[in-house]
Amino acid sequence: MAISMSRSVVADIAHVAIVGASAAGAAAARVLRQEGYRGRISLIDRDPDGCYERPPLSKQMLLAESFDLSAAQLLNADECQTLDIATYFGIGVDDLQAATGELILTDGRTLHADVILLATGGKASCLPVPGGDGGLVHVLRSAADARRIREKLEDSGRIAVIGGGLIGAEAVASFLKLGKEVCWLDGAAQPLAHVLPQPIAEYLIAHHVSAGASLRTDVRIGAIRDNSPQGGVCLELGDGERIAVDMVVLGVGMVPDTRLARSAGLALAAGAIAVDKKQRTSHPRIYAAGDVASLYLGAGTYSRNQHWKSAEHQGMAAARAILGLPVPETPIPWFWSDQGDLHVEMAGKKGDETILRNEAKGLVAYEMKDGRIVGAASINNPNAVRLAMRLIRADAHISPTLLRDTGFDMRSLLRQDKGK
Amino acid sequence: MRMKVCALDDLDIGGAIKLDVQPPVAVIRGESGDVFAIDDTCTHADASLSEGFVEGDAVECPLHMAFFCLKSGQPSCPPATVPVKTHRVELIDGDIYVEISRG
Repeated sequence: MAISMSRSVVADIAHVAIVGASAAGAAAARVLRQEGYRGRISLIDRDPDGCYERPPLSKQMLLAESFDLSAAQLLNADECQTLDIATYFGIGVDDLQAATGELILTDGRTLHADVILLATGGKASCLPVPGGDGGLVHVLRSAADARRIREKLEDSGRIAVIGGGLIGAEAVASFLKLGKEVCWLDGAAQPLAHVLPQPIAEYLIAHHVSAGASLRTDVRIGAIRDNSPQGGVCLELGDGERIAVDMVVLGVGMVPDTRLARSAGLALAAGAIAVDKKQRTSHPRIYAAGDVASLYLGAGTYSRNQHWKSAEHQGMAAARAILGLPVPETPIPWFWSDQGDLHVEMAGKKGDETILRNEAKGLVAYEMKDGRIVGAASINNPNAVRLAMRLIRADAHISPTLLRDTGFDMRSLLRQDKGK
Repeated sequence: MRMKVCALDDLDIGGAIKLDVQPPVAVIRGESGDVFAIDDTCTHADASLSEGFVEGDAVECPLHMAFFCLKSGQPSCPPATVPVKTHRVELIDGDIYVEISRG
């Protein structure tokens, strides 16, 4: 019964339009084909660079000798051809009519889609101060952003990075690696502590500072001005102090791009498009995935997970839901960050207590709640986090003493769990 | 081409050794205790599977968490869709040998 129903649903879908060709959109397009969908797929992205990975933009793409985006394609032209995915890159969507499924493109064309997936991601946030959104500051979200920063690098000996999140820290590490003088400014009391366990954040901060970053915390930026006639940019801090630099890079978060969702009248939650675990929005024709989606967890709570794996999962889940297929369980939140020579991974969430384990391969911090591991992060020791993800999933109980004991084989916990 | 890797006892459960051939090969000991050899580079992105997490007789890519069966090389989880090549492993007198097949 269920099978014949899902077949009839698929037969009714002649055209799926995906707006946004980043991790979520690309995964959706690919999975639609993998699962046997034979109708039309349109993949639309206003970014002329098309379908590429964003994680390398703050790392490899800043450090590499030449800027080669071909190494970071999510779906290249050959794959799009093989999978019969029609791409509309460099073309935006002006309007979305939910009732008719019409997408009005910026080049004047109109697409009629039976199902629309909004994977529009977001825009890098600006600073709400004079000069905080203009040509004096650089953000880092698109390939074009990374290219612009690269073009200015040669003439920029002194760079200010504003923001203590992952992008800010990665940019700081990349600029230090390039031999730049880096001034790292954060509005919070400590960078990275909002995304990582405290000791891991401290480790990374100490690393960047010892590599030469000049860190200023609890900073209020008053204005960002052209530093004529000397050249460069001048940051005016709230306390009146001025800092002159050659370039300013902002990493102060992102704002979901909900413009189309709003024009289609979709329900929003926590500033993004409200979706259920099947990535369904408030309109039956429209799905949403990735940074622009706000996942309903039940009991009135929503979660926004702005990381690669979550976007990829949501794109895949949307494709499966569109085809009437079961959607896999939401994965445990996970992200990685490469900061200079340090590879950081974090899974799960923060708990009430952090337990450190000093493994030979690298430091691991476990986040504990009620005797269970609810999160873990590591430095240059990714498999410790991969193991912890399995323990989180298994809801494993473990004493802090054992966790600290590096002689204790953590893998044995998984075997115990399997034996249950 | 046949290569001697190491003694079986020197490769822990869940451990891996990367063979520096072109393209590189990962020799990985699964949780069953069996030893497998697969092409080391993930078919989805440039990552070394010898650095991946081993669960059962499968390995998770350290970069994007694609999952490959060590025996068949087949991916069982996105984002990878293309299998990794497998190579024959032989145990002779307690030593691991890999027959690297190309083409």
